Amino acid sequence: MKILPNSSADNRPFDRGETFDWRLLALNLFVMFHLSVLLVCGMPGSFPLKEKAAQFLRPYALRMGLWQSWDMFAPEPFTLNAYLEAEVEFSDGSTRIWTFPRLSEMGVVDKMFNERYRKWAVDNIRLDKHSLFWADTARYVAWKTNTVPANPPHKVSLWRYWHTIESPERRYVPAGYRARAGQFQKYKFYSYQVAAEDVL
Amino acid sequence: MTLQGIRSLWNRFFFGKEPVEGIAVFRICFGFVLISSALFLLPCFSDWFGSHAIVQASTAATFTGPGRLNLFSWLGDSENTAYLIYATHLVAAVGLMLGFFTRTSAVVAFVTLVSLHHRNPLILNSGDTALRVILFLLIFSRAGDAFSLDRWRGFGQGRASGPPAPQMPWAQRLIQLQICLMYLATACFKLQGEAWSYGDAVYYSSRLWDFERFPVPFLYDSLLAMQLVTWVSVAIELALGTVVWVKEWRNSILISGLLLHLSIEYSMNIPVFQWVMISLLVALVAPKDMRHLTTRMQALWERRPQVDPLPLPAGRRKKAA
Repeated sequence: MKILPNSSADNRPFDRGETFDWRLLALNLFVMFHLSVLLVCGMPGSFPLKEKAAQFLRPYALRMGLWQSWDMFAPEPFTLNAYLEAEVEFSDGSTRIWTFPRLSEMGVVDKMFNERYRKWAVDNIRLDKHSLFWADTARYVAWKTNTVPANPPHKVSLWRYWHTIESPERRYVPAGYRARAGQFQKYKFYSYQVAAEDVL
Repeated sequence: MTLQGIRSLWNRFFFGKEPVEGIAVFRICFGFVLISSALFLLPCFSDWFGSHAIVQASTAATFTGPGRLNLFSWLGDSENTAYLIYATHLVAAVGLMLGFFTRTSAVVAFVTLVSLHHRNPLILNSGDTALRVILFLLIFSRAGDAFSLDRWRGFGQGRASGPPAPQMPWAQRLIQLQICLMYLATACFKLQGEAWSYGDAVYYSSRLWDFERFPVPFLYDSLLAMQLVTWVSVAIELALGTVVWVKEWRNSILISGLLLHLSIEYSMNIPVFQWVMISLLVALVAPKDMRHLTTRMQALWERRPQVDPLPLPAGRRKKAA
């Protein structure tokens, strides 16, 4: 068994008895620093040495755009199908439901171009930890639904809907199964009073 | 192992000269995926980055914190700025793929990409993260030394001759280590979860309607098959993060990784992510294997049957002979 890389005598810049090379020293420091950055920012788990190093390395990683997390479908995959709706109340008292783009109702090609709507709504806006963005979301919906100048939206409420996928031991869900509308649980998680400047 | 031995191994690994064909081929694949990823943003661009975007620039700035590398904070947050940054990114990505002012193109592509990511962090997936962190490391590599317009210009100006010279692969090694870390980290995250340990993860993932793409009739109907696929996929990710460095196993593991990503690409709607990961596998091919492959392809290209593009009339053919 052979571990890369292949060795050869003339491939060792520090082992040839040459004069000290400051450029190679700088390269070594750069390599060590960035190895530390990717280990501290990329590896899961927490222990004192990692946290200590993160105090110094994480600000650099965040500012430079080198932040990273590799928890795709992990530690647990999603176990629910969810979507969002916005209930828009207009100045004349009428209401309209604005549904966020739902990939489950799209064809293969449309799904590819709209996946980021799912990321935004289902993975992020739906969660309480992203409440910072709820007002922006409500303003975006108000702007989208402001189609009649004499009757602008004046209140937007955000609803989340979800249907849990049961574990196979409890109730095996066949592939391609779709829940009916009444089987979804729902919850109004945010209301926003629309200001005039929001829909300009 | 002695300290001298460790130092020697470190030097050989990061600074022992290697052929540049591997990183050049990776640059082309990665550049293509970078362009594709940018083009996927175009149809809904105003919703992501415009003046009435789903996330306001001020909210994004609050979320990300101060001092981020972000051209929007210097150029202002308007629709025109967004399109300017986007167009610059696209041009730089094309430059990177073609190897035209390769390092400059990589720097510009990175700064514009990070700016777009900081402008709207809520629409990003792990593929975007991979593009961003790898692009940063690609800046420092010798990716433009082969199969590039830079090289072609070098021939024209007399700066280059013969095959490209081997170079220190330290940036390429950082890219490879970053890729291994991605796979190792995701495998570690998964092993912490019950669904992955019990083998139910593919069952749950295949029941997520938003991710459905093409039908997988037999596999998705058998719990045992889904359990096996769950465990095999974690095993492949673990191998790509660790034992891919064992020379005798490397190509088999890379082919397993390729099949894993192609099968996910077929069955699940996660646009561009699998393309990004497949392009990253190219960076893990041993440089000497890549040189061998590219040399063979060049030889085949030179041996191709020569076709007369415009057959001459009989009289003129005789004259030309």
